[in-house]
Amino acid sequence: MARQSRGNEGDRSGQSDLLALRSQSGASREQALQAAFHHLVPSWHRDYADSPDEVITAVRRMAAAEAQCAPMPPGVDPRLVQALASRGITELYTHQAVAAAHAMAGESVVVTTPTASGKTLCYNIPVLNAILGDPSTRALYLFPTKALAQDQLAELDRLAQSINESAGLDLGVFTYDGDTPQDARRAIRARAQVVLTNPDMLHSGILPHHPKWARLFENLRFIVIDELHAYRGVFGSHLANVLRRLRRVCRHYGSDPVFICSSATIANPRELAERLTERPFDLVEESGAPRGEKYFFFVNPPIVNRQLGIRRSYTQETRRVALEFLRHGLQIIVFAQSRLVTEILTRYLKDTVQGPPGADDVVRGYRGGYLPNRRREIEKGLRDGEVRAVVATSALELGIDIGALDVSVLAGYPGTIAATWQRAGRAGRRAGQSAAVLVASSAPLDQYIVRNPSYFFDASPEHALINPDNLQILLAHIKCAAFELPFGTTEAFGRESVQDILQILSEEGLVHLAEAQAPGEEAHWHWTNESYPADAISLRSVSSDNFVVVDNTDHARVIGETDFTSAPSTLHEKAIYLVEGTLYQVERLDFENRKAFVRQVECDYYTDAIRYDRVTILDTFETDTGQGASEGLGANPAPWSHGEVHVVSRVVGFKKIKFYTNENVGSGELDLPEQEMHTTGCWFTIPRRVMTALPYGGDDRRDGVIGLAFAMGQIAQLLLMCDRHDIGVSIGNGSALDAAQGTAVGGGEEVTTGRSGAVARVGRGRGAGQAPVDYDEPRVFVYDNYPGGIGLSEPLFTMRRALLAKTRDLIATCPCESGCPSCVGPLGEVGPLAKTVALDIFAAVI
Amino acid sequence: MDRASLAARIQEILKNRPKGPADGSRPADGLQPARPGRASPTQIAEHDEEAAFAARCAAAESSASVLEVLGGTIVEGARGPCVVVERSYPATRQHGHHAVEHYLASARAARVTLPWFLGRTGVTLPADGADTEPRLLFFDLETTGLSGGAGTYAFLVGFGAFERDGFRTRQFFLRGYGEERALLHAVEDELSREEAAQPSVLITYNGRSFDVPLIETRYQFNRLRSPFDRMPHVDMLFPARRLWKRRLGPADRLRPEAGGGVTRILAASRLAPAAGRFDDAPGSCALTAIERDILGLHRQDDVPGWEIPARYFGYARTGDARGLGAVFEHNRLDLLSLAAVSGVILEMVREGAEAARERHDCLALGRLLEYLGRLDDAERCFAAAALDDGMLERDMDRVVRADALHWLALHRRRSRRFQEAAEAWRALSEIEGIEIERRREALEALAIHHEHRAKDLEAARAFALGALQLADDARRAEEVRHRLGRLSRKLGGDP
Repeated sequence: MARQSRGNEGDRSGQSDLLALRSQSGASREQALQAAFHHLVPSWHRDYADSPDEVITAVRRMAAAEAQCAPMPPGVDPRLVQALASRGITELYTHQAVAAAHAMAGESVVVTTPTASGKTLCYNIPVLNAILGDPSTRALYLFPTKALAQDQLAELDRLAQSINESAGLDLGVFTYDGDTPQDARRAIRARAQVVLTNPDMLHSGILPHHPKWARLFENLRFIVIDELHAYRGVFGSHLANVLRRLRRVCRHYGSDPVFICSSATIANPRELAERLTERPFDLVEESGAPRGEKYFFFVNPPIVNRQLGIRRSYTQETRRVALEFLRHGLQIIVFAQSRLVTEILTRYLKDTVQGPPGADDVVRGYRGGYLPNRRREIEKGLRDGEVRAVVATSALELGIDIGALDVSVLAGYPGTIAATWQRAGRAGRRAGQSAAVLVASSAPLDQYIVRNPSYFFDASPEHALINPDNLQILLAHIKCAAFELPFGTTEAFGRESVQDILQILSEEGLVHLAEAQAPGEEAHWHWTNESYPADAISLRSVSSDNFVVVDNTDHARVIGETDFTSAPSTLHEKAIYLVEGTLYQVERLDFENRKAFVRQVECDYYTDAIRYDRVTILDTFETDTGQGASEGLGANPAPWSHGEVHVVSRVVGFKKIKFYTNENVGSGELDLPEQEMHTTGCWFTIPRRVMTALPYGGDDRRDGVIGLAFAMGQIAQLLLMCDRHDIGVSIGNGSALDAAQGTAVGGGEEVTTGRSGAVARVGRGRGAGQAPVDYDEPRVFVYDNYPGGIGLSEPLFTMRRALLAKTRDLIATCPCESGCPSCVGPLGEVGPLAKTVALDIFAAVI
Repeated sequence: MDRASLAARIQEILKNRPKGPADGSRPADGLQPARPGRASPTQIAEHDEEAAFAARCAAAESSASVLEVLGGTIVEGARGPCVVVERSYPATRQHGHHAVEHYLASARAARVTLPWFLGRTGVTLPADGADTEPRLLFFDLETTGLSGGAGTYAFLVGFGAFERDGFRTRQFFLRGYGEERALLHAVEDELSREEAAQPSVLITYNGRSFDVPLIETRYQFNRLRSPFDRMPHVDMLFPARRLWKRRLGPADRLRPEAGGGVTRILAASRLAPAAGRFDDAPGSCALTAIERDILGLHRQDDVPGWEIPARYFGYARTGDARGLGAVFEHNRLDLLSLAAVSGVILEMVREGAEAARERHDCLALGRLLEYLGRLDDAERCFAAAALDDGMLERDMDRVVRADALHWLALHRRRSRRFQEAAEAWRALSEIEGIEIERRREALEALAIHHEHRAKDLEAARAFALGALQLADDARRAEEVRHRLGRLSRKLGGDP
């Protein structure tokens, strides 16, 4: 092949090096890594300490760790011991032995261990051991995606086959998901001892058909939940309800399974496991697995304009760093924060690969919305070493088997400590060196992290929060549960009594209370609707709508899909839609039929939507006026509340942003339907006397509030340790009365947008027909960006003091002169006095 | 959240539209929102005056009891009470073109032919002798939905059977959700009635994929052993499809070379299905389509299938059973039609080629007999359908005859009667106005025959050249060229 013969000529300088890409042996890989480090850090030497400079703000070397081993727990069946030995496993890592012992003793256990620490044995040993003891035993494994289940099937099946061969048994392990052929399903239901599936299939394919699965449910002893940390927010809130349904069905069949969960490192694995399953757990968190040496770098792109606080583009900086490693023949993964940046970086890296058509396939993009075939092909290419660089979203963060890569480059801070470690862990082997590089964007959160490395390296990772009692989610699953088994009149579902809700559903004709037939029997609520409720409920979103993207270039074909909430901002007419660096322009958005028709184009820009939000208070749960509390508050404390809000958002236009330079090269207006939701939020009002006492003009005061809100949104993410899409920030009228108190007055104007990169801007546009915000008494809202809320607002309310103080610190310590994208937002979008005014407001309220 | 606002919020969620504060307050009390789905009581009222009347009566607290409306009796089983509605139909009762006694007589063929059907499923009757006539137990459910799953109930379990002098139905009704176990036990008893004397065979229409799995799920749900898993079962949907799918609608393959005549011909004949209802889509073998076109039955005031669950839910909520009378009647008519269609099918299969009056019926019957493993009977049907009786002026007759010749040739070849097979292929190749592919296949078969069996290489080349002209894809054309090359070599080497 052309690219190999050219590579063999040995030219190791310049871009054509990319064509020399081949797998490296262990020793040369270490040399290549060290050589790349020299390019990154000119004064590099092997024992380079953490001596930060302006660009490399942190270097941490994580020492290799020796394996900590323990013997097999007593009571493991000799046939299993032998099968493990035949696969080279004669003793266990300590965490495997402890976890297995818990599960064998009938105690639910959650294991948090890093990537590649052999977590699967933690559950495979107790499960296979129980099956060997009693072949009627059944176990159910849940993985967040079908692909992960397939991956795990291969490993479990090898172990089961070893046992079958040596012990003459016929252990059956199968995946059961949407891809399982119809004619195989009956056999799997009857004889699979281990069923590997995903929560979606459990929800729509297994639980509603539980009578067909009677054998499984009667004998269900173990439920394994892998990648537990993936079940946070909406998905986790759904899963908690699916598990409530699962345990109801188990009770019906007289089983009470033990849970074995594995999780990446988060702050509250035990709490999450207990909230998801509503059972007590033991925690195992000391990994006994060996680790290779790893280097972690923080890179802050250099400032190119100090006055405007502008740094070199982090996408360009990521490109530079990634090329440095690629050039040394190392296999890399680049994580981007959004689908858009994934596509942009894929394009940048492909552009540097010269050669015959198709040569740039050594660089691939990978994100949700790609069709499964394309994904499988890319995963295989990574394992084979054919693909040398992959640019991915969080879709590759989970344990999909892509082999061990050399370097992980993170374009922008992933938003949480847990996700950062998870992504960094994608590079690294049990022996030998690897590296991770975090390239900070100019977003305030990124800047906070790279300027305070100890916050990242020394703090505990974040909490995974869920809200299983979100009414909309709860209601959906009560319907499913009623379909599956009638509800007793004293039965509970989770923490709340469901009886009120069932009564209301009965008024809607969905259930009916049937009298007890025999004395001493309970009356039951029965499902009285011909629909199959699970069909209408998606676990991945609060509502189940999504849009498909149809490419009309040659003939109509579906090239991707997008969830309902982000469709208006990514699939509006004239939007540029990217798939692996290929540009498509949306020609028509058929909102009714949930379709976007696109055509391939060549252009040098992408688009970024402008969105307006309007927030109205529906119900106030709790208020802190700040009066009477002296500590840490200024003379004019701002009253804080949290409660229920109504959010209306509308995409009103878009900007065209040029590739590489990020210049704004045009814009357009859009007329799209409003989207609205109920959610929970927390808010504070800046007192009128504070605002009117400021010695600045109206526009400057407004800029100060906008800048303050912008920074506050960033710090809220940091404190809640949530994804930036999980919360919204908006400004409204402090003088508006709460709906709960009487007339509701809508009013607000601000914008929280910025799907491009990590920069969220607060603009100053104004939605049509909305009352202007009264900046003499503004109110700043931070709300859960999901219908019904996912449990973020109340913790934020309790952290309100820290939220104010850290927001002030972020702005006060920023090295810029008068506001920049890293504190109050980019100059030009907020006025020159934003930073000063914001700090003055803080001086008054804190 | 207080109950009123909880109710308001739930209604919003069910309607899938969050209501902002600007929309004003929630609807005034007493104003019920439209119920979701088309199973709404209001819609029933639009479609059915009787139900509307029933709803009004219910409001007036004069609801009628199940037994009064349905004329049933209560069977007190060991596990509780169950309502059974029994009806007898005399032999003289007309059902479509014929009276019950006609179908009863036809169904006697079951003694001979039912084992053929059961043989396909690997079941033999316990007492498989000429002196024991199997008891045909016709079976049909009415359910609370079509999706299946734990929340779909069978609220009416209908059985029918021929008796010495007529037809009798017994319908088991789920009077309340809490009585399901009693219902299932009663159904089990019904299945095993007189089993010792006479082996029962369950006869259904689409029961293999719907009725039987659904009721088995009910047993599993109640953690009871299903009696259905040990019942011999024949699903008449499959043979009905083989026999009448083409007759009830144009199959895709019925596309002649010229004229596009088949649809036109069908439209002109009485076989043209009436447009409109889903069940009547061309090619549908829904029981209602079969009974209209084969039995000649036109139901009056029948309850549409989609409305049945809503009627049961209405009853469950109000206790007023008047909307259910029509559902019971619907189920009984289904059982009668199932019995009649079964009689027709069993008799046709026994009579073989003589049973079919029309050419396409004969072909279809041949295909069914072939499926049942009656290869000689099948071949007789194909031969009859392939007969050139000079009545071939219609396009469709030519198409059907070509099909029949195709199957006939395959049968003869399989029994190694190559000369006879070649005759069929030759006859097929000479029919005008049929599918190109049919003709190409015949010519190719003839080329093979003449090359390898008849050893007439010139004739083989002529047929191969004909096949080449008709080969419409490259791979086929390449195969034929390969054959022609070989034939040329053979011919050249033997001047």
